[in-house]
Amino acid sequence: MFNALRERIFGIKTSQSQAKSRLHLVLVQDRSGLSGDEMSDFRLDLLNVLKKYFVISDSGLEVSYQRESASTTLMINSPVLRRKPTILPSNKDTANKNIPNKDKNKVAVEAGKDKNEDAKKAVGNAYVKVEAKDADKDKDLAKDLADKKPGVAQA
Amino acid sequence: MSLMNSNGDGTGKKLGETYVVTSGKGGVGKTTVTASLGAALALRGKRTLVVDADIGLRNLDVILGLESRVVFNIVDVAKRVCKPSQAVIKSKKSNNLYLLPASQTDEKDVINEEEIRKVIEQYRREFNYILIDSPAGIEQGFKNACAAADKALIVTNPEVASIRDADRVVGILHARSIEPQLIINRIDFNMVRRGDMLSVADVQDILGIDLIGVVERDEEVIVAANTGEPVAFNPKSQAGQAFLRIARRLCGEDVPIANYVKGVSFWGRLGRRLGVA
Repeated sequence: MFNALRERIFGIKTSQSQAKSRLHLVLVQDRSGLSGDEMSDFRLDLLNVLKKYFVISDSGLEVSYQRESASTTLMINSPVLRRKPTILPSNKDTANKNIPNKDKNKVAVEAGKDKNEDAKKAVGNAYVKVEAKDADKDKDLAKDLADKKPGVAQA
Repeated sequence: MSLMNSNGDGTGKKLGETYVVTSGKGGVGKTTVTASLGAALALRGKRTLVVDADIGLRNLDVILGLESRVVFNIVDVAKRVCKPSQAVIKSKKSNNLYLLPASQTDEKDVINEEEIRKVIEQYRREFNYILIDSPAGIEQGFKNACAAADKALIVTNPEVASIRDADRVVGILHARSIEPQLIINRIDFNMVRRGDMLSVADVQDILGIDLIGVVERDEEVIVAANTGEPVAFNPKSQAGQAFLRIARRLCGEDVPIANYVKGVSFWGRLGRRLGVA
């Protein structure tokens, strides 16, 4: 509890929470097979798409790759500052200026399977869930490994 | 043995459950887990065979204190140099615990998946449980160890490199339709409390697979390795008790994994209530 408080008040991260966030990052890369550059391109593209429909902050976007039994789920989690008002071409500029930053509108968008705990997380967040069955990729990989003769891998 | 003719082969014996104990990363305690869990199952009256599949780097024999009794090994059984019954060695501490040692002189790829599957198949009628100690890595040795297994136990330490490698192995096992269960080994609850070690919940959350046991870091494990008596035979050790609990869970008993609550202090519990921890 003290650690959690310390983190909140002073922004001092414990080595435990550093380990956790580093692992989350590295596992997204490992599981998705995307390189660091591809991942940042992906985030950028995502942000652009989300910004078309919601007012979101660039830093709040979280991308994770979660395993549920044999399938892997890509989770994109982003706080929604405000739902984008329907903008008429004439008052587009003023509409954008009037958006208060801290007003977190409770919008939950979910595509895909619904789960209770996921639904809880979705409160206050735009929550886009794309389920991507990844088992086939791993199967290919297992087969690749099987086909590889010893020594070839090192080359 | 009771007549449980579930496999329909007419012999009236239930086939032993086969687990591969694996981790991806080396040095996380696979061999200790295999030996201790084997001992714990034997203590529960289950006929248990522990198999060393780490060809070229045999270690399970010394952890079990049976190094002086090794005559034949798994490669000899595969190549029909000896009979399956000649290669297994009975533990000094239990009549239910047997070891099938690895070969120390051969190369890792001296046997293939099909051969190891056939070897294990020959023991399945004789034993309730077969635990296969896999070599580290995800190459041929690992694949051989997995070939004969129905289920997998993934051993990980609560640290970054070990969890990353475990995650890789989970992916490969899923692709082979083997459902893995997780053993968190060498956790230090004081470090977790200080915020310097990943907690049980953290590891579970990151890996997303079933947890079957948590083993505390315990000096008795080193002592047990020194003397060649698996730590499960030492009822005073925390780790030994943890392995006994895991054995009960493997046997289908409902033993709650409660011991990691010890990692949460009074303040931690209060914090959780207040929503800050």
